[in-house]
Amino acid sequence: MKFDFILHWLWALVFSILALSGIAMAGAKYGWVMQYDIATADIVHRLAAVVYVLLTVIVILYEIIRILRRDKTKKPWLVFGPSGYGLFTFITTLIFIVTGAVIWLFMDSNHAATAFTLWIHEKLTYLAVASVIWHIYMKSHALKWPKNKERKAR
Amino acid sequence: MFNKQKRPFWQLSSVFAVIIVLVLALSWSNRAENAAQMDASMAVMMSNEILDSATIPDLFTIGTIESPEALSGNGEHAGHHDQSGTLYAIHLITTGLLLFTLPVILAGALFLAIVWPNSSKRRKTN
Repeated sequence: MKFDFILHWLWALVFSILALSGIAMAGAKYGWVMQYDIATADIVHRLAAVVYVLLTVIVILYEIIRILRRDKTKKPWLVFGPSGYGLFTFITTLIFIVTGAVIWLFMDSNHAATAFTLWIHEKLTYLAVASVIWHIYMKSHALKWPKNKERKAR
Repeated sequence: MFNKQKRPFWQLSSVFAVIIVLVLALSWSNRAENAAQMDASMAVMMSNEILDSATIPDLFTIGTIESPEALSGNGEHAGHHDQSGTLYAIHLITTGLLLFTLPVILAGALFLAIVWPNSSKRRKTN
């Protein structure tokens, strides 16, 4: 199994957990997503955020190593890229991490910065979730179980 | 009408639709659902309360707006949170990891922002 394929699906899993726990905390309207257990949603969101940050470090280092080695092989499953949806994911991830870090670190000491970054974090979540749905629609052929290929191989 | 290529997307959508209906049905009798009467999200409420009176320098100044939670000793790092428990240990470890990885991410992102346009130009010329 390819490394970029594993990273892609790990990323998808962590992003889904972050989106669900984040939307559950966004407002009382969406609390039903996690049965109004906001405390659990908070812990889950923070733990998943750390995994998300670590995955981001891994993907960035992997891409830097590929560039330094002048590796030009196509990595269709890699989450970051210089154009298209890879670039969109790269930019949104950076904004998510920076705004998330401000909320995490300055929640008690700077309410103005927290309010501003929380607003960006929330609105970006809706945009990112909508873009993921569009991404799944566009790449839905990847969801097909490879029956035909297996049969042909036999 | 339906594109056969997109059938897996609609199958996945129907699975998620069933999950959402089940979760909604389970939370139907939940008392906390009365809270759903509040229309605005947490970010919007916080922005309305704080950002209306805040200035741009307030975004970069720590401690200018006194936190009621911090004043009452019920802030994130004090009060009702057990500071010797597992949860607090996890909080310290995860915050440390965040602080350690943030400069790596920003430096790596800057490197990619410089290198990516050049590498895509080379690909086009080759």
